[in-house]
Amino acid sequence: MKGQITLEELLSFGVYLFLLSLLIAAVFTAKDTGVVWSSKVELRQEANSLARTHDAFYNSNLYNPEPWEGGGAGYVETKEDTGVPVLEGSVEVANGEAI
Amino acid sequence: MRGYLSFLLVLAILVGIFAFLAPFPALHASSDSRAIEAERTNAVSMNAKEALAESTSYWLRASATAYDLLPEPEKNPIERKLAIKAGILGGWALLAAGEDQFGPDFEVKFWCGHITSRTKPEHSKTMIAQGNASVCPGCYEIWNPICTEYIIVEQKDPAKDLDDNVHLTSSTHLGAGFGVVGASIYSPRYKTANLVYIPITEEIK
Repeated sequence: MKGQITLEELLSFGVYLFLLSLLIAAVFTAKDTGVVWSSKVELRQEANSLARTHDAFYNSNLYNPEPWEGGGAGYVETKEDTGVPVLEGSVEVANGEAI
Repeated sequence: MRGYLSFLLVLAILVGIFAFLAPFPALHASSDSRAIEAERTNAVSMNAKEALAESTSYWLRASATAYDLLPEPEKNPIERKLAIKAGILGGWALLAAGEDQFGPDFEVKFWCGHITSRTKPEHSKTMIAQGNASVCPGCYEIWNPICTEYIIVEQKDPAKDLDDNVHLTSSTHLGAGFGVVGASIYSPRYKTANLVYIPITEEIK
């Protein structure tokens, strides 16, 4: 019958909308998870980089123009609240404190 | 209908993966570049020190050998010592002429003079503030004839099985300082600085 919506078409449209909303929800959830995860990984990497930089200056007996003391490059700024475990809980970095 | 569903499913998975990975390029923001700069500064410092030791060693042997070729009646130990000192100083002048050969990222200045244990960090800090490599306070550029004062020559003695050797230090003492021959290193690109010198106990042959 021309011009009438069949039950089957209605069902199909419903499934389409459901899947679309599921897709959008999944994308936003995945993005949020990615942001949280990458900020943790980034913080750990930053801590590793600072530790290597400190070692490079200290072991070479070089004058370090940006030492940990005094707010130089040796500070890890936490992205979230203080007390975020950086290195699997073995080291914790508080805001503005040297590792 | 089934193909349409599969398409949506695959699209959902792909978009989800890309959404998850999207924040990760931020990881590249932090790197080990500062550590690498410090390590490179240290490597150049060690090269400068090695160049100084090699030059001293070469010109010690070259000038001693040349002097020993003189006819016997013209030789005497005092003149031989002077010839060795003059030879080493000549080598240092050549070294100073090649100070720009440590690459475009580093400035190197060789010097001799009296320093203290505080000179290294203090003068490194000064060089970073001034933005160039310079000789330490109270020191002389290495081609200066006064630097022969910092070459302590011990001449060969076959009876004691002793070869010609030098110590790069000074027999005169100025306050708490000790005399050394060394180099100042500064990198305008990395803003790092260092001061190295041949240890006073080092015997160069």
